[in-house]
Amino acid sequence: MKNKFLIIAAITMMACTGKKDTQSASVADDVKFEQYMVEGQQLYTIHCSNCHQVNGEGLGRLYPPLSKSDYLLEDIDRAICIIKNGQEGSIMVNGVVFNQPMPAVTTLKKLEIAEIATYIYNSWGNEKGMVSIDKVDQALTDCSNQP
Amino acid sequence: MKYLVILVGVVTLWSCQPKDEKLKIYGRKEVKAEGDTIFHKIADYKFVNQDSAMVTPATFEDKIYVADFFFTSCPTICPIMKTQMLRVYEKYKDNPEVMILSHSIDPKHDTVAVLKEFSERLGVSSDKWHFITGDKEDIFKIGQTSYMVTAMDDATAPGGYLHSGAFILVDKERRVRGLYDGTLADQVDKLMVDMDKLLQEYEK
Repeated sequence: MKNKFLIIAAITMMACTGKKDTQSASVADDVKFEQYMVEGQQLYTIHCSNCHQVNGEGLGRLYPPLSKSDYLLEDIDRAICIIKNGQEGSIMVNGVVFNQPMPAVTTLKKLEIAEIATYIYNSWGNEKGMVSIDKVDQALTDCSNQP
Repeated sequence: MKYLVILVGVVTLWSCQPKDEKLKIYGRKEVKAEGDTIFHKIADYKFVNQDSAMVTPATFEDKIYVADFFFTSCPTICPIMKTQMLRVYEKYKDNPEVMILSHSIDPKHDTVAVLKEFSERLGVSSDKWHFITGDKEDIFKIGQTSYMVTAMDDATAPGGYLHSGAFILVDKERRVRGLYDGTLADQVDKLMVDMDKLLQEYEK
């Protein structure tokens, strides 16, 4: 029942974005979104939650939050690159400086990165919608081009 | 009627459990000729904490403490251990009889300054929770021989060190009274129950 509501809500939101997709395509997309969320949560638990915590709130000033994180929300492509390649150096998240290296998870496949990204961009108050494999593919191409 | 039988059965089973059971004392025992039993004790040590203060067994005199082994740049189990240890810290931060001792097994990288920043970022007070560094061999040795945990170099392990995620509960007589998996919330629940039991032993 709750899922039905989610589907209806999602369709309504899709409709608001002005996409010309047919209704049935939207429903298929929505099922895919749900799949990404479920898979993404499992991958998140394995690869991310040790530091960023199950609730996405991070740990003190050691590990930054993902929940309502300005750093995360302002650049999806950057986040995709960080998930794959890790990151070093200091960053500012919601006004706090963090400076703990994040290890790369080079074994992640594009689909898995899309699932993780979809999960973190649509949990704990974040509402960015689905992150597709195409989006991941493009972002990774761009970040590997960087010097 | 049937329920009554079950109820009586349950009550009987309950009463069979020994009450006020004391925590086990870990390690090898030695019985002296005079009949005294000598228990395994944490060996003497001398390390430096995040405030550059010397940490020795005297630091933990008349205290029970929880020890662990970690390193600040550890990519795997340490963050979750620190999350769990923070629960212990929060619960006992106002209890003067309880302390926490985290040993860095990467003392070359984890200098006093690094440990200081780490503890501040974690948001914990250094008179309650000591993060220590020192001679690497000394730290490995005390981990292996006193606290009964694994701590060693391993180039194949992520981060370069192989170490256990154990939390070790030590009593006021420097004896090990419990070993717990510091990466699992329910094991840390058990640790805190055991800490309460251990503190009761000292109530007179």
